[in-house]
Amino acid sequence: MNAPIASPLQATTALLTVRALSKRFGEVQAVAEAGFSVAPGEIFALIGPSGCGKSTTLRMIAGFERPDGGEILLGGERIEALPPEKRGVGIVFQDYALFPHLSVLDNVAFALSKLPREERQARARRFIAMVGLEGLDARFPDQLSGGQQQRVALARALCAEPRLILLDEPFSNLDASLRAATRREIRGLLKETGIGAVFVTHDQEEALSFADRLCVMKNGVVQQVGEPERVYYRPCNAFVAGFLGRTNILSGRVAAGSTTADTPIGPVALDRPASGEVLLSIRPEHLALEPAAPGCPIARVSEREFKGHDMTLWIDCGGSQVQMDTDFTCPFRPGDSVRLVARSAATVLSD
Amino acid sequence: MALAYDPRRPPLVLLVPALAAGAGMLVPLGYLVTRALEGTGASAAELILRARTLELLGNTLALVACVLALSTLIALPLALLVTRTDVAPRRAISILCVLPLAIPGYVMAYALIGLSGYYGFLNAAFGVTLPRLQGLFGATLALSLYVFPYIFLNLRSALLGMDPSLVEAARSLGRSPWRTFRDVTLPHLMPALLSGWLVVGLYVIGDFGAVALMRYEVFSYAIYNQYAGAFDRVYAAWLSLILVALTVSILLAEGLLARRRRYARTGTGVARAAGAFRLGRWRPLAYAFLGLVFAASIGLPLAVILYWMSFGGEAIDWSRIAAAAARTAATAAPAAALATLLALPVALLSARFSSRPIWFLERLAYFGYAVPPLPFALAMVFFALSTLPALYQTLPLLVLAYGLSFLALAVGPARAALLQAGGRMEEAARSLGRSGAAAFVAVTLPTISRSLVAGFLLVFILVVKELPIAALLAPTGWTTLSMNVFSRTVEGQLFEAAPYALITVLFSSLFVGLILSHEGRRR
Repeated sequence: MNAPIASPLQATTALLTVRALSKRFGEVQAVAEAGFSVAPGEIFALIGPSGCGKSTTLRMIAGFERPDGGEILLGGERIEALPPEKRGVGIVFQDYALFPHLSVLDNVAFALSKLPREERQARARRFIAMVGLEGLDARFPDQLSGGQQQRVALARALCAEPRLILLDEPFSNLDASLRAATRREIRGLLKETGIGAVFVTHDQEEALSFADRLCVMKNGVVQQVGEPERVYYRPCNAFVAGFLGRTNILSGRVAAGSTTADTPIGPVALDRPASGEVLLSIRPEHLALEPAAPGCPIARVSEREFKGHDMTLWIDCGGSQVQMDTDFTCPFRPGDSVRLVARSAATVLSD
Repeated sequence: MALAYDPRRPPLVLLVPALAAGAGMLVPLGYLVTRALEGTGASAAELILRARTLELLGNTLALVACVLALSTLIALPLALLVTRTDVAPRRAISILCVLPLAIPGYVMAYALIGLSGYYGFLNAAFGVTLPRLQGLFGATLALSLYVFPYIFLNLRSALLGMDPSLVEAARSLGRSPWRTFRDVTLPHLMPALLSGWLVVGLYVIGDFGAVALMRYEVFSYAIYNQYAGAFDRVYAAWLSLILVALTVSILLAEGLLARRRRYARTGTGVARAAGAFRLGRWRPLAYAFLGLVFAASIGLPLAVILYWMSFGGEAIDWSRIAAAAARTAATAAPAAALATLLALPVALLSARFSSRPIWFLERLAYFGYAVPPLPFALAMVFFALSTLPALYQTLPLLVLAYGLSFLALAVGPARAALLQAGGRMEEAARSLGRSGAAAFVAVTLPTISRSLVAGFLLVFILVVKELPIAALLAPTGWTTLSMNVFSRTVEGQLFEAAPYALITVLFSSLFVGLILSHEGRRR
């Protein structure tokens, strides 16, 4: 794998280190030699399409699946042979898995069974207050809204004072209108406690906005690890570029000694040196339109998608369709001849 | 890499009891084979291949066919009436259609016998003296009036679950109502009908009380006579094996028939109910049919029991009846507890650790339920005599036989509840620091406890009603309610049998209540 593993962390300073982790279910290689590390206090996203191995990786960290090979280190200690209850890893499930026969207070206090009753309840109340559910102690899970249930699940996991918290598709069961606000709130809570979190999602917007760093997976293989902006702007391959948002994949040719490539939209600057035939990714918002000028490639507006706060134009550049984002000031209409200008260097893809 | 902890490995604490339960099903049947093979080769062939065996087989199959036909003729119109017409009151009629399950076959046989003769109910009430009902006709009537609710329940839920647009589509394509019923509705009812027939067919070949009281010679009756009377245990073992083989062929045949058909709904339209057919001028006929069915299946046995009770008067020795009831409860409670305790590991393995051997283990529990009770009880006798003679004719052996025989009834609800609860909650509990067993007790057990209790109750009630296993395995003097009804009716003491029959019926109505509450929850 030639993906750049952009991790400056060493196993000694990292909270969680996963090395060459593998898991096979019958014929299917669910996770293949996956590796990444998470720093203390960091929110780390595992993202990929369904079946990419992200959930299996999470379940191996939690101890619900046994890895076929590889290592999982938490605070520098190997944990892959420990049962889940000995790992100090909390988990918030997609469906929250609240205990339906226990009240909110008893759910949150569940991990503290060894403490005396008074102390147990006081501590659970603190975490209930922390997630903003004061006064709902006596409620049962079926008397709570989806968002409240999720916060109980988080309080329950945090109350156990785990060293690491895992979140499995944490926001997918919430209404779209609630999602953004809850995301900010939970991010704030996690940052407040300062423990590290690993979460799994298939939603690129969620991963980009919620995580400090993310790891893109495909077919069980880690494609790229890095900070959201870096992975978004500098995807290592066409899959990562396409998975983390809309993009244009263009083929180009780089002359010897040149820093630009010849592409169907004209000459485009490159983010790193390359030569010969290259594959480039350039995001729609990194393109601008200008009126056609003599000598530039023929490009024509073929479609105009109005989306409210902005719009996307589809440009036909000698047979290849390129999309670009613009706003209400755009004067061009379908049929107009235009020229595409790259506002930033295009990313050279490795495949 | 050797790891200490593997979440996918079934723990021994589950495997050991589940394997013990599986062995409890198979080992006794092995002893049945051993005992059958005790006869020398030539005599074994003579023993099996005689006209008597063929006659028993013919009688058994004839009884199955007649009961299936008559109970379907009763159940299909009932199901159509309550689901497709404007008959009223619908809910009450549905309950009345299930209520006959409270009257076990031997009580129904008792009622039909108590009807006839000079002292019979019919002569007292209407001055009609009938000859004693018996043979194929009597057995068919006694069994059909008891088992038709099984077919009714299956047909009713199939009719309610059927997408009404199928019928509407057929009508819009030019089919008449009758041809729509024949070409669309009826084929869709086949899977429900088949599974209803399976339950009833297995029950009929295993039934002992009704056929014995009706003096109709089928396998189970012959097995009992060979064992209890003639003591020809080798022939009894052979007859038992043939009956088990018959059970297996019925199971296989049903499996084959059910597999060939495809009736999965392709659409998702669930909410709409089918339009009701207005009975109009057919209404009197419909109510006459309902009246006849309910009078025969519920009114008649109750009337006959109460009629004979009136003879008893002061003479009824309630303390003896209470003692029999106490013995029945003392059998049923430990049997139900054993079945529930064994069901939990079997259900857990099947819900959490599915693999081929575990699938086989679970099937074994269902097979144990399908094996006719007399062969199963006989196998337990041979098993006890060969391995632990001290166990023969003791309460523990009777309880063990019941626990194993009814295991499947406790596995079903437990497994469904476990699948519904899922594994997430237990995983959450483990990530909060509980060990596997502690997490199960703290989180899963409370959520499935209702189903475990339901399984316990189901087994308890069915053991109370059960006759053949008790007749063969009960310790001397340990007569249960059902044994009292049976033996007193055999001896012609109809008025002495009446209070036992009444209590059995009252108790069995609890079973019906259980079924109805489950039905009510589903719709």
